[in-house]
Amino acid sequence: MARYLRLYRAFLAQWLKTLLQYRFNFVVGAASTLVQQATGLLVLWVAMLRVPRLGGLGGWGRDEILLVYGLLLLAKAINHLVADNLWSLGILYIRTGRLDTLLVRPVNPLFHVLVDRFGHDGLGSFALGVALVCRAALRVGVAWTPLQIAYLVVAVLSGGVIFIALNLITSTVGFYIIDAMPLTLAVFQTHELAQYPVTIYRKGVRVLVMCAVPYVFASYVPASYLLGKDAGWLAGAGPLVAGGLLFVGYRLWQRGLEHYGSTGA
Amino acid sequence: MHRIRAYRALAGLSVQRLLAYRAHFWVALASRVLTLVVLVAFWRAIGEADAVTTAEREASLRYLVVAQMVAPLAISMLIPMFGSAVLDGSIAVELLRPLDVQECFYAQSLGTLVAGQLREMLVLGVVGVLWLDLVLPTDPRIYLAFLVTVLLGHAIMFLVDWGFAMLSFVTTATWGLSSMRHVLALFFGGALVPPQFAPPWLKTMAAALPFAEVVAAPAGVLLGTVPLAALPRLWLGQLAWLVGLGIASRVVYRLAIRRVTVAGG
Repeated sequence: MARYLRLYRAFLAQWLKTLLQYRFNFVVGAASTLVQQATGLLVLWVAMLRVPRLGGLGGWGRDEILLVYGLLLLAKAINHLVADNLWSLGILYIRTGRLDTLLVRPVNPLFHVLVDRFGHDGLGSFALGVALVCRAALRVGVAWTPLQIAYLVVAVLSGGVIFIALNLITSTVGFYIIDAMPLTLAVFQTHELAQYPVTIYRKGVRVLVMCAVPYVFASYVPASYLLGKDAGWLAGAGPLVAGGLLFVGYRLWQRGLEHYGSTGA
Repeated sequence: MHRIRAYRALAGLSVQRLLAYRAHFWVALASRVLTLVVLVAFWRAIGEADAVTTAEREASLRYLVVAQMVAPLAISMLIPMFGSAVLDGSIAVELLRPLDVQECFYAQSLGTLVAGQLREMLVLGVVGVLWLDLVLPTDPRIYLAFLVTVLLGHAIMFLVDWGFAMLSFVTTATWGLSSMRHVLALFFGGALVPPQFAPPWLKTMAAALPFAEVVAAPAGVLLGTVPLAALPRLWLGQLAWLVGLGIASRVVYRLAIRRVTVAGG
């Protein structure tokens, strides 16, 4: 573990050197994700101007909705920062045979794929997510005990792992069909259903979202618990869902590696 | 005549490419349907929480469905496509062709319009009619006017993208640039906030930018909020944007092309 932490630091340092060499790229990348997330937030803000401050939208007030949105943004940003390279597994590593070079090195190949490229573009989203969660947390009138703060941290980390695990599960399909990006994108996009309280959906969609979209454990469920709404047993299920999905993802990755036959060149 | 044949061939290639990557098309479509479901649920909830009349709420939802149907016009891959051509040096081939580079890319984007964006609009229209109570007009003249408005809007979007694509000569972060341009076009074009809920500042900014000509203008024609008698004025406005952006894009291209360096040459 300590060795991998050291390696992670070393890879990160190399990546930072590259960023400093190409500063304009860094600025453009970070600014573009910031603008994207800020635009989503602007839509929310414009809509919230029309809604009463308390209990206005499906029983959720403005700041409460901001908390749901901010939590999801933070989880998404963690995925972007840590595991953005999974998107290109099929196209850049499996199709080209570049994965071969990682397989002969004395480190876990999944770790190597992840550290090959850091998603620094996610810094803008991360900063915005932190600002949103802090603002909402201060305004919703919750008494922040150490236990709740710990729950918030665990919920954010679990949310990030849920994003990473789902991307890992869908990316490993690349071992069989090479370009798995459409599948990864299709699953990833369902996070949109979790960016607002699920109570805004009609009953059929609501049931579907709660049963089939794990991203709710990154946003709606922890926000419900923190705000004292009835989250039931689901409130504590986030880390379990994250761990379970990560386990499945890693097993599929191992199976995929066994199936991998290089480019045949 | 020779040039037109060449451009037709380029447009045909673009069509073939789209038809070859069918999974990408259907996934993009599925994610747009998902966005449509989320947006309709969100704005329906806002409408129910707000003091707007039922008629106003219904009108805003109808607009949203049509605007989302037209939204594929605001999404294009020109920026990353141009960026990767600059990055791998294949832009040199484009520059050496005895054809105008901008016209070549426009011919390809016309192919994408026919085989991709119009096809997506058609499927989204069917989804709107079957599941979201969308009522489409029966007058064939409206569809003709809609097609003209779409064609002009598409050309405007191409020229805006051309300006962004020229940044490929100074940054490799073209994917981020492209995503940023997409959300800006969707937001200011009117695909995310119905006009019934848009605050005055947003309406003012949208009027000062070209994006409304790409999304809100065709949507207005199809919804009948822009009557047939008002079409010449609408088209004149679009043409004015075309001329202005056309001149600007030529100037930017001439300045940008001076920076091109292929394979260290």
